[in-house]
Amino acid sequence: MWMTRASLWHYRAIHVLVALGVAVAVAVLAGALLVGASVRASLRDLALQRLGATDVAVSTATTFSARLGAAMVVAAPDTIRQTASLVATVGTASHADSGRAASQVQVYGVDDTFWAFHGVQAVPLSAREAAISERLAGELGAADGDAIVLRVSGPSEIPLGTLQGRRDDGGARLRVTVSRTLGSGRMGEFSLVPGQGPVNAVFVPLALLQRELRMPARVNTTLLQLMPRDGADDPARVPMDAVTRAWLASASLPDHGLRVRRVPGDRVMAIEGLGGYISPDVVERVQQALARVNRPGVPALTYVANAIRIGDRVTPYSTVTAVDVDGYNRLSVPTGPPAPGTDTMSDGDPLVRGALEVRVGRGGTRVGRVQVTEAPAQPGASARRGREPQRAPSSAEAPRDGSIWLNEWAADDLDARIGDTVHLDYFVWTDEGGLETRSASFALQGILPMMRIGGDRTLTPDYPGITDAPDLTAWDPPFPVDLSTVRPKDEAYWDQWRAAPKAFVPLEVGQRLWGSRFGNVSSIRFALRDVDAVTAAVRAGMSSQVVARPVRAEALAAAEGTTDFGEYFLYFSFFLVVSALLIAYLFFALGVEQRAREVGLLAAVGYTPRQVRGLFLREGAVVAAAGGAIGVAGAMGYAAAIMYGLRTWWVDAVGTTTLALHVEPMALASGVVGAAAAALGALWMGTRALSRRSPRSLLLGAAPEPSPRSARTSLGGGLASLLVAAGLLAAATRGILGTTPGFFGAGGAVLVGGLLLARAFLMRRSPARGAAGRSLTHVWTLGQSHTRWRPARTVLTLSLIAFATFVLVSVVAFRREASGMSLDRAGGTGGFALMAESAVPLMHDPGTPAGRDALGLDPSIAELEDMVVTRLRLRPGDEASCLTLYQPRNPRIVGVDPARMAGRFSFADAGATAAGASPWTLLNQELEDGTIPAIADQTTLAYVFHLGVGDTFQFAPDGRSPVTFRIVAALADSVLQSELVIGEQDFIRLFPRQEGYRVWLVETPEPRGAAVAAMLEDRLADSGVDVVDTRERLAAYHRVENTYLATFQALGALGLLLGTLGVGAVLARNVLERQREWGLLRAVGFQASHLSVMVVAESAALVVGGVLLGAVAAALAIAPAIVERGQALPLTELGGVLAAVVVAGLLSSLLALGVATRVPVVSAIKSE
Amino acid sequence: MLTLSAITKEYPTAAGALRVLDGVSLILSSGEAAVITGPSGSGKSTLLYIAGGLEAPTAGTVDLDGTNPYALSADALARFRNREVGFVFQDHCLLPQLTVIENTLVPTLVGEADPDARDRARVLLTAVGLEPRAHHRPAELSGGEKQRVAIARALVRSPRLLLCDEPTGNLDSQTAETVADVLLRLQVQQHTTLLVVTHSTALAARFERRLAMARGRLEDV
Repeated sequence: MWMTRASLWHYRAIHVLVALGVAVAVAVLAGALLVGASVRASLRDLALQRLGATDVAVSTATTFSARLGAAMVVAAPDTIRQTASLVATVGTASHADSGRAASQVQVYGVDDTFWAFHGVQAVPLSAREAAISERLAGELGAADGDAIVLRVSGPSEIPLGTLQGRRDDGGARLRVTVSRTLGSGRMGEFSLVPGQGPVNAVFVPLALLQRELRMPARVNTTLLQLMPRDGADDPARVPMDAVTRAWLASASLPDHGLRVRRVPGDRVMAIEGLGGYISPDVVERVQQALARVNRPGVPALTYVANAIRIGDRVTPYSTVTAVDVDGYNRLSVPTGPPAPGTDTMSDGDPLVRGALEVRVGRGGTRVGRVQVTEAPAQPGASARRGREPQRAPSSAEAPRDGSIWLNEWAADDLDARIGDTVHLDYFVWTDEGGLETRSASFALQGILPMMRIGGDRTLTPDYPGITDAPDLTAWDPPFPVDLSTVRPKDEAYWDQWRAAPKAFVPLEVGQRLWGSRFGNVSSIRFALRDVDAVTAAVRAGMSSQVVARPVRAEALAAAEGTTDFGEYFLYFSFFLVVSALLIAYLFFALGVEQRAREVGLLAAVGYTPRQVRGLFLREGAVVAAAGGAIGVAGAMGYAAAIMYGLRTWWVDAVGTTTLALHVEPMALASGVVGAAAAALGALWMGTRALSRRSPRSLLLGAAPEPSPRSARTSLGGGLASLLVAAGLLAAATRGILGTTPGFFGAGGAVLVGGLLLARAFLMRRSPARGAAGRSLTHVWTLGQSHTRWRPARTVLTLSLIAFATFVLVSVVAFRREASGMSLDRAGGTGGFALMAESAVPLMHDPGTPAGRDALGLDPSIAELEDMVVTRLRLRPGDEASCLTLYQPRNPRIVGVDPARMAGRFSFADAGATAAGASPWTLLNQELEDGTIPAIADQTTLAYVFHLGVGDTFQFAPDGRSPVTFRIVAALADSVLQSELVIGEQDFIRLFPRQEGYRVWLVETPEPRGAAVAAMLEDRLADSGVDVVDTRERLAAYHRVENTYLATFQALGALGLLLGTLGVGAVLARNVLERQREWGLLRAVGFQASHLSVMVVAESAALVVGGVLLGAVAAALAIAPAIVERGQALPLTELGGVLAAVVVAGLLSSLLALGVATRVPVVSAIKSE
Repeated sequence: MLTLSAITKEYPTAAGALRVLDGVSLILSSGEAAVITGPSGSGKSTLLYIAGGLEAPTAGTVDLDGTNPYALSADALARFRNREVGFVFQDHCLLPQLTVIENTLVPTLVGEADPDARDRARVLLTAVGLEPRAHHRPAELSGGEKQRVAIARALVRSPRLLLCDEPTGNLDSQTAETVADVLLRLQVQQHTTLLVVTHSTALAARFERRLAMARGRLEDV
């Protein structure tokens, strides 16, 4: 140990240099890991700050009771600590005076429980007041007391994709006064979606939003804070089952979108869908529940017919019910007429209990049994109750859709006879085609009396604007009506029977004609039963209709990030680390070399090579430890500097200024240990060369003599590398190998080959030619010959510079254009100039005159003349592009019609596309394993999802049932980087409640882009449309990539410069070691200029040679990328960096020469 | 007994193999002292290193009391040098970072544990007249003193063979005389076989057995 101690002290000067090298390596390595840990911790902090106390968020596509949250706490007191219910929606906001607007604004309707839930000071909001986030205040230029206008759209019980959906309802327009601006500490940036960008949020009184969105006492979101427990940060360990059970235990039937009501005047009850439809799985559960209480259900579907026609006789605007008439009649017999206004009963309605005897009709006539006139068994025969028909002949057109029943009123109105062909005209809504008029024809099978089913107004669901209208002319349906066709008798019917269906068709026929993905049953009838028992049975059989997500745990998982910044900065800092290690290695190796005679002596007195290395390594370990200790402080400084860079210079890459340094001991320790180990490895390498030399050669202090064999091996290896390069180039140009791997491989092989050839050249034994003579050229040649003095050192220096140059130049090729992109259909924009996204679904097709009219996009507007829109369905979710730092666990999905995308965009990997086919058609596949084919941008796949074509991605869109996507193709550098793309049919199947289209890809002649964007944003403002230029969007993506590359280049250049300093030190040492030589040359008449020329010649050969070799190899590697993109290389920038390297190398040598030549000639000659 | 049999040594050069020793044979009895003289480049130092197990011959064998060092593994060869051979070089090869006694003890840091090493080192330093300088560093010593430390270091393991390569080459005649005195006295005391290579006729004159090396061949004088 004393020997180590003594050596450490004696050689302290060089050890300090080695320690500094190690310290830099440790600082950079541990600093990079600290950066990763800091980004993760910052994202965690940000996510948690935005979630407040929220552990789980429960939401629905429709609404549920505002009291449900509180009930859940009662139902699961061991699981749920507290809840807060709110209305959460997205809209637009504009300043009432300035008109400055912001889209994609989170609008929250909250009450005091919201602030109490998060444990922050309450923000009192009076009836028309709002609190807004700092970001929104900044974007709108709004201050306290300013008025802002919000446009919001609330959840709709009635699906927009059905006839009765209110597609043109632009939602609510609220004018509110800003009462205060909230910072993040007061939940001003509350958000359930992880994201690092600032949040545009508005908080308005819950009651106000409920009123404006016509959802009194209802909400669409409840926040849950769970009881503290272990593993709360793990999404898989959050007790979501208990949450779901609590929801089920607390939810009433309306929370499931259902209600029960008594059918007036009948011993029949009905379960109805609040939105007009009951989804198929709920139908099944209700039927099972009814079976359990011995009340088999009869499903019915009621629809609106524009006309019921027989011949030229028409009954306008009627409802028609598809039902099994016989099944319905078997349910029970009537009990009496209802009293008007007593027909509606719902869960918990006191009228339900004990009020079973009701009357039918205004006259209060009690009817004891159903009278039905049916078609005679004999074809062609007819029968009418009461009188013979006096009417025009029936249509000769044969019925196509089976049989129909009319109620007595309709039969009278149409003067119908059994067997007549009855036509129904009706509207059908399809998202793709809009509103279409269709017809069906039936054979009249029977006529129902105006009682029970024949006069049952409850068969028609409540449709706002229809069933609540006082008379027919007051109808305000979401489809066009011709009120001129309404007759006084129709109004009379409406007065007496309201929306009671006038016609009845078999259930399966009606379902075929009017069913939709939202359901094909509007109510289920069953025989009278105690409502509590029915309700209990139905509730017990229901599954949860809500989406419950463990948002806290998910956010924490997402905060792990798409990008491991630690890893990235390790890559980015690679050359810094390598340079630092090389410096440590070089100095240590120089130190060991300087002690060659010591090594020789130790060998002579019996030390084995291992023992000799052990001695040196002990010293190295102490030095590495010292360097590590210094490096710890350096790591924190380096990480702090990088974090500062991320908040400022490189903010384009991260999109937030909230990142802060977090010193995580584990990351720091890992970096220190890793770098110190690497340094120790480098030092061990430094001792290896010596232990291979013979003791005698070491004792004599002779320079290692390269063996001819080594030279031959290097020559062979170099030539082989060049052959490999040629082979790779040939393979790439002939298409056997991909262009990028081929050329990059060739470039790499040239680099390695060049270095090996340089080694062979330096090791050759023949004397340097031209060393004799008198001109400066000969002096230059003599100087260059010194590169062969220490061939290993020379090759190491060359390698360092050449590799660094190779990387720096190569990185340039990956830079992407940030402007001037084309609108080529096969390019990144797909030929679309604009991309519009709305806050609410846009249901109408702008490709049709009617659709444009409905959207308010008058076809006569010049700007929109040549506009062509490709509509995409959207399921909102986590941003998946490089603009986010969070891992998208619940990504944004768009549904496209593959046929409309043919020929659009380019594919980096077209997967298993058949020859000549569009890769988009892969989305039409039905994959055998049940996975859903999906396409994504290659950048998104590689850097965000870390997936490739053929891989699968699984997530649970509703928080429970997982869905698996299989990536079937990858887009090349496209504007579609924020989402996963699936086929429209798969989209509709997976996300039936994601209605309509929310993303428009817009083609428009190039000069009109800005005008069209402005026009669309103006005309579709109520839908919260935000339009972006696709080229700007693509440029934003490119800026992120370019910023990463710039970071890489900056740190790489720093590494190169550090390496250059190391190289400079080596060169300086080369000079200083030869003091005797310089003394001799001076003694024989060399002037200072001669010596300078010699030194410059030697240094230039190394530095310029390394730069040239690296640059040539890199140019070969990136040639295809440069040609393909047609981009100009930033030669000035690159040239500057490389010139700095050359200059630094030359200067360090000249500096050393200056020192060496200050020594008197005689002393220099005598020096050792 | 040291026996060198038909030792040949060649070095590869660009111009072909360069033969330095050409079938040299030599036998030294146990405790015998001999000196080799000859012109520079005649191969005398090479023969010395071959004899000490530092450089393998191209042909021929070395035997020290029945052990052929070049038949040993690398580790065993190192142990052999540590235990059986002591070296004194023209350039003393003291480690500048160590004190005199530490330099003397360097061979004892490896190989068999030797609890008496420090005492023996002190005895040897006393014998070479440097015990008072035990804690000085080489930079504080004169050339002759450094060489005496080197002799003490060579003998600290009590080797059977002591090899000296120009031990007085860098010393003035008086100092050289002193060093030679020490060397020969200790050789006798420790009954060590001694082989010295030198240009110095004065030093050579102090040996009974003298050999001369010329053109790769060895002859008794």
